[in-house]
Amino acid sequence: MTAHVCVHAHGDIAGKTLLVTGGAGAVGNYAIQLAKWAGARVIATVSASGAADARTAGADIVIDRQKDNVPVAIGAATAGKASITSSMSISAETF
Amino acid sequence: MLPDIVALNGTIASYASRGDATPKFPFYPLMRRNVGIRLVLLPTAPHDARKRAQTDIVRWLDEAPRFHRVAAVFPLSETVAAHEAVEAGGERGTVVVAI
Repeated sequence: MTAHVCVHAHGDIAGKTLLVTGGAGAVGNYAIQLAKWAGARVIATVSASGAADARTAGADIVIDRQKDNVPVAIGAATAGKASITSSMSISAETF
Repeated sequence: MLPDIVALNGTIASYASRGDATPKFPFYPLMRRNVGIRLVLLPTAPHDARKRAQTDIVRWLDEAPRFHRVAAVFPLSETVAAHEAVEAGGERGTVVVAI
């Protein structure tokens, strides 16, 4: 339920890009699945051991926040354009 | 990190802050992009949003097998232990109370 309310906080997300931080956690993982079901493109950040779960959930792009340069990886994924429409953050550090 | 990657007029939705009651955030960089910040707590979310979540999730579950990572299952009589397991973190996934 929390994942759904967060994913739809922006309104209609079909065709839009969402960033789900903590994509391997319980809520984050459901957020990926529900966002994909709603027609969004999903970028997920995870810690290394969670990458497989984020992919299983259907994330289009999975970024290892400990290994990858997150802003650069997201920039590459969005072709350098700021196209992240909605982000579900689970930690203050992502602000 | 986020101000540069959020779309103009985009939204940041957050339901937790790792126990920090007053997290700092970059006000001007986000304001310049007219970013909306939505802090989500389910019990006080609008009734319509919760109703829609409920309806959508039932449909979503009906349509296909879904991926569930279950961290632990507790009987109803051990609900306190279930909450403590969530608070402790560690094992990834959902903590389930079986009814």
